[in-house]
Amino acid sequence: MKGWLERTHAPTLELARHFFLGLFRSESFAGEESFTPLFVQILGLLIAASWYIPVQVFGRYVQLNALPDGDLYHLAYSMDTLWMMLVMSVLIALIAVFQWPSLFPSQRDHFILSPLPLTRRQIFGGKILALLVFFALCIAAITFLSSQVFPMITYGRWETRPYLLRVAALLTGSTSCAIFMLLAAIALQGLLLALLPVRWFRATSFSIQIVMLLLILCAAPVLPYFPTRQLVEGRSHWLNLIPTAWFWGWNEQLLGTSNGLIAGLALRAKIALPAAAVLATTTYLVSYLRYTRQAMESTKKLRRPVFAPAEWVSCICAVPQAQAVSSFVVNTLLRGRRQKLMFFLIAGVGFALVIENSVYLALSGIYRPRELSGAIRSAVLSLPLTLSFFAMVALRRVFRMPADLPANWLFRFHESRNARPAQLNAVLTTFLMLCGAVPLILSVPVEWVMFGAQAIVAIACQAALILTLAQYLLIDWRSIPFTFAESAPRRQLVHSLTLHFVELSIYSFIGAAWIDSALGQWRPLLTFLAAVTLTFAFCYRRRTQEWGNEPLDFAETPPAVLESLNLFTP
Amino acid sequence: MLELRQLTKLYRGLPGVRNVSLRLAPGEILGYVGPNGSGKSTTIKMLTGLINPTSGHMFYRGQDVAKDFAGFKRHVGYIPEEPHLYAHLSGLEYLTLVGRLRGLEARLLAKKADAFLHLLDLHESRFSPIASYSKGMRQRVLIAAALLADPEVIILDEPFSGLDVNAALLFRRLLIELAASGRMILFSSHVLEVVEKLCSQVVILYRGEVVAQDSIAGLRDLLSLPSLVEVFAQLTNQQDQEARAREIVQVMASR
Repeated sequence: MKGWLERTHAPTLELARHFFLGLFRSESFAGEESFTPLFVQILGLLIAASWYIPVQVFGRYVQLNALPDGDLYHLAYSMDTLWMMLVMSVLIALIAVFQWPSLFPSQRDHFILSPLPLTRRQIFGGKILALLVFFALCIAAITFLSSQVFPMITYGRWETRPYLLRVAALLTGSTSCAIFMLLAAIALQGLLLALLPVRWFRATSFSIQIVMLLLILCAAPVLPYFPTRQLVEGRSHWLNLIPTAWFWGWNEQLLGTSNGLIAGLALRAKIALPAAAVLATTTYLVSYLRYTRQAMESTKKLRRPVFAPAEWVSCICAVPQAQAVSSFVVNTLLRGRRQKLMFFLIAGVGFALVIENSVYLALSGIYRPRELSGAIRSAVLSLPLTLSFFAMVALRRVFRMPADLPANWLFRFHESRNARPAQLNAVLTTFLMLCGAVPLILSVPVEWVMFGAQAIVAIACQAALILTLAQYLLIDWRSIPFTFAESAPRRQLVHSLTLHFVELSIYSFIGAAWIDSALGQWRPLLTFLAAVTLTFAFCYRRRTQEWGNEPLDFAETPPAVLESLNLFTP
Repeated sequence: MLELRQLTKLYRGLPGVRNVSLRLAPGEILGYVGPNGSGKSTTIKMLTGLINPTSGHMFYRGQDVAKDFAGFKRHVGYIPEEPHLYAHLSGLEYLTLVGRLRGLEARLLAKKADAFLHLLDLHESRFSPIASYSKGMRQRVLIAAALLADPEVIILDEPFSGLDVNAALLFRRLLIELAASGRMILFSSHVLEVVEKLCSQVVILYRGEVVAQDSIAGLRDLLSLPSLVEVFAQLTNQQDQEARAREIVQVMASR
């Protein structure tokens, strides 16, 4: 196998290899040198995720099989199957969203590959082959093992259907569902590609990618609240509106369940799958026929933008050098695809947490009305804090993603000791404007409705916490954002996640509870303000200790590279 | 007057440039030439503060620039060898960024940026991202950015790269005008014909060391050679180019 991989093959296979490796170098993933470990990690994560449900429900089925009646067992089996397929759908959708820009040959592919002696057919063939292999591996990792294990661990005295039938049904349902999700993603992007002019395509396609990413992030934590029992037990016709449920219906039909709803769902699945395949193939064919035109279509000269947030934000800074930094940060954040994707990925988790909290409060029946009111107050108070926390953590991470390293000479050339503190202050101001002010302003109406005039005190307290967090997060910050790259993460992922969890708990949950207790009472309010002021002063001192004294950090071209060229050997 | 004295840069002990000394007087265009890897860009990067010299000194108006490098850079306009620009910004945004970094007042900056964009035929594309610009357009953005703050010293590293004939002619004329108005111009290039026409003095660098420094006429007379190209070939030990070309064709055709 290794020997076969090392040999040079036909152009289509070589292109497939090129595109396949490119799927791991896309803007969504890390550096190209880490291909093998990254590939293994992704497959490992998917397999681990696919085991989540079978392992969770193992204990439940021991108890269900001990019951005197089998009805509850059969209901639970159906519910868990639907729920498992929903989780699989979310996983596949997440992969499709990450690979969204790579689903079709791009303009860049055209410019690089067209001058080579390759036909359009070979380029498209290579792309399709690479996608087939990649998604086949992902789908197999998600569906194959769990489809074997779930029927095995649910087996008991109430299970009369043969094991192989249950495996085959689940595998058919889950695999078809995953393929449908993927084909739907291809068809959607193909339609955009076929219908939109090139100058609109990139922006629209990227916006859709971001929206889908946010939807998936928000959907993931509320999946446990998905009313599978009500839908399955009540044979609800809402199932007709959920594509995953169509394939669940097919699975049920294969298991021998026969009723109108299941037959309808299965029929939908049997129509949807080939329909998606036909649509995806057609759009691929259209893209194939229009490829050269699409790739060569030039972008129109742009007019003066009406919406200029970079200029608005930079107005806050007094010194021109600081305005330069501020407008550069906002422009890069608005236009950098990698930066935006990463920002929404992390900030989206905060948004998802807020959604999950709201759904939990809305659906929860465990609270008495008085307790529920207290929980809602805390949730409202923690809303801007949670959003600002994730936004700030996301932005600080994104600040380390370089815009264009070779272009950094501009900032290095113009760096001066006099302007440095003002430039670093511009980073802090922009950081606060984007991640502090926006969540706070958005939550003002909700807080006003909830607390009336007391909302002013609440907002002031939240603003003080936001200011303190910004000071804390920018301790040791010593660069213009987007001008340097961290070669290796400072901490292990688990370490970072644990630290962020502790920070979030103190900042958002404890902070909100403290503000809640301080509203309308002087003593807790004064204690809160004293604690925040002390923390702020400590973080401010730490942050400004070396602020602007030392040169800014920039990514350097390593001298080793120059040496390797052997230019300077006498 | 800009003066470099015994400037040396070592990369982990290996010399990038060694004991480079030169003088650049107001109104002078100094040609700085040498084969690839001879240390031209290293010298320029030291002059612009992008790398620090290992030893040696740079003087501007008699003052050691190391004492106030930021102050010295305020008088310098620089066009780098490669048109590395933040491609997500538009031409106007890039010039605004540069102007602000140089501390230009907003109104003056807007006026100058607009005028430069007009004069360098970039006005129509001023709101389009630089990513969509041709190489020549990018080079013109760099030229505008270098001249925006009215520098006294202009450092040019292959400034004609990518420019079309009209733009190149305009820029050549512009350099003569700038020199005539008393600016000091350090002109690094591989295009020796242009160097010969533009520069009053020339410094030839080979393997990190200055091998000749004189007026072009002086060098031609000294070596009894008819052109700067031949002077250059002799001083930098260029191999028999015809033989080398034949060898390349042979390798190309090998099976």
